[in-house]
Amino acid sequence: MEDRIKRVMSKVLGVEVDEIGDDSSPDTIDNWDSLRHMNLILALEQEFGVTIGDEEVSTLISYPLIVLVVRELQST
Amino acid sequence: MTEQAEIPALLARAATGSHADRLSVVEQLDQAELSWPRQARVHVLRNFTAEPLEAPLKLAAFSRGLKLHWSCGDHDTYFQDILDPASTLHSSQADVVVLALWLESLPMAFDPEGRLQTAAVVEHVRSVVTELRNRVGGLIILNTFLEPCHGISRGWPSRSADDVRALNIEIRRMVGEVPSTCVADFEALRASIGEAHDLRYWFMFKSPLTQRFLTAWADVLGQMIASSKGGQKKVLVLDCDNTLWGGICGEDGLSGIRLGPSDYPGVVFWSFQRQLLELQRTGVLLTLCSKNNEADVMEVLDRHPSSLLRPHHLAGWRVNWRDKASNIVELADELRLGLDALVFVDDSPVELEQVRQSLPMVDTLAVPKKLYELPGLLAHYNRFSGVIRTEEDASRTAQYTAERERTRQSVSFTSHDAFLESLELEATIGEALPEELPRVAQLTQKTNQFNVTTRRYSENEIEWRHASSDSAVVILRVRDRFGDYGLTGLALLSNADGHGVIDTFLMSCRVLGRRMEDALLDEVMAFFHRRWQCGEITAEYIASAKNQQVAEFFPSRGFEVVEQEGTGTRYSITAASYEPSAPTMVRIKRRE
Repeated sequence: MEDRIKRVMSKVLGVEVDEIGDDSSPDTIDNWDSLRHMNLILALEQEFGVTIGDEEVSTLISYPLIVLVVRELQST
Repeated sequence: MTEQAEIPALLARAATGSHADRLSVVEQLDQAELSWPRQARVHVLRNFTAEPLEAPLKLAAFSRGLKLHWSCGDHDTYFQDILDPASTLHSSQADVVVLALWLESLPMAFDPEGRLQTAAVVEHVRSVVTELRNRVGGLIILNTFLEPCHGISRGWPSRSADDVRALNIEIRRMVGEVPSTCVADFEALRASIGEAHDLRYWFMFKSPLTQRFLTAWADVLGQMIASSKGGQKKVLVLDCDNTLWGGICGEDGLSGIRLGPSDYPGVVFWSFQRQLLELQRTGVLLTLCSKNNEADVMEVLDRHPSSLLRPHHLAGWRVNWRDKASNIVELADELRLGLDALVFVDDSPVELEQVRQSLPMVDTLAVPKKLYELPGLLAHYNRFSGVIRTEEDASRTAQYTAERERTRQSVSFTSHDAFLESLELEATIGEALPEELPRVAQLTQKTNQFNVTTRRYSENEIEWRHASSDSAVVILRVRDRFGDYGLTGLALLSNADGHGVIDTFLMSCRVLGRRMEDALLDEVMAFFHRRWQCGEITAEYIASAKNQQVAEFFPSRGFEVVEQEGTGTRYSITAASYEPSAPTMVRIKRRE
């Protein structure tokens, strides 16, 4: 699942897969602006067939958080 | 590095892939140094979050061979940007300005109780468009408004929905008077794709449209932009039988073809013809390219009570028995347009393939297998110009009608044999099997065009000919890589003391243009020799209203005229002087 998340992030944010790690956030990835963030949420929802809650949409701004939330959503 | 040759595959991935795939394809194409036939500079003025439009719009442009340079004004500063000569609008040097306004973000749109202020909105849009038109060149594209998300209409009559519709009609009427300005119809888009509002992103990010809607909107914009840049399709080249009507006019006759407003499947073709006329009014030229007798097709267009399409709607036609690619080249020439302005519609995969191979720049559209989807074929095809309508568009057909009587030069394709080869034709020829006799009788009764004598036989008569030792029923079955055409040709032969007679020789029009008649005649001649040792063979042509295409069939294959009387001509040839002429690329399986 981590790999799939990284692939989606790579495509949407326009960075290489191996550049994505635990410290990845808008602070470390310049491309990660608000438009790409909106697209990232849509792409993750489509990839994993989940709906990310409105509380999380704006706060899902690091790779570890994304992994955590997607895993949680998939297990419910 | 992205190469030029990768573009189609990338576009295909974007069309079928996920949201993430689409975004990465756009980014890749955008950054690569590729050459595109055309470019456009688009600047977006908006009062909502329009940035999500960028990727789908670039993609819609790429798929039309158009490289798009995108810039976007700040949120809700469109009026200042128009008036300020130093704004991003004026520094962008855009040749297309998209004025993207969202009703709920217009401060004058609603009174404190939330009631729509139609007059105020129209007045505002009018002044914005007027100022914009006075200050920038190029194309301006607006959109109509959607009913706000607080609207309560769900199918029952609603004041607020009516108000928005009335507003949209006003906006379109007003914009219609401004030069080089057009409107994307949001209500029509919503009707065709379903849900338009993304409430989550609207309330959170002022981004009100779903991805599906953005994609559909981008497609409309891409179409309008491409239209303004030229290079669009202008001509529909239409097959006739089973494309404009059901059945075959040369076989089924005026009363036998299926076309009309009430019965299935005639109603499908009738609706399709309506659509053609609608397209014609937007300036698309309609032409015909059909393997038929011209008189049969014209009889339908002139006299069929339910045919909406009439000869005066046509900018040109080629109705004859030559290959369609040559005919299409002639049509383009006659209309003085490039071949890349043409779109060809046919129900036959073989004809479509021949045109695709010979003329790759011509778009081809297949009549759908599910016939009721036929009207959708053109509704979903979006490369026609005519989005921006002009008076000249509507009269274009008339201009071409005047030019129609031009010298027709003959175009021959050296690649026609190569095309036949690519079909992987296979013919099975031999004496009919008992279970095939009903089909044989049916073909003698139905076939009018490729039928040298047009003699009609009942099943009993065919059975008798099959059983007799001095006559034979030889049939032809054809298949190619597109499928099996079944029993599609036949000859009725007889023998009188070593003298052979071809009583009937016919081919179904489904397999014409593949030289299968040569394969059948070769086998017939061999059969006379094998079965009865015939030294001389006679054949006959009886002219009818429908069969002039076979008038020269026997003489062009070495037969000599023996006798002519009325509409009948008798020919003969000696077995020794006959030269086989079946094309080598046909694989022939002889049924022993």
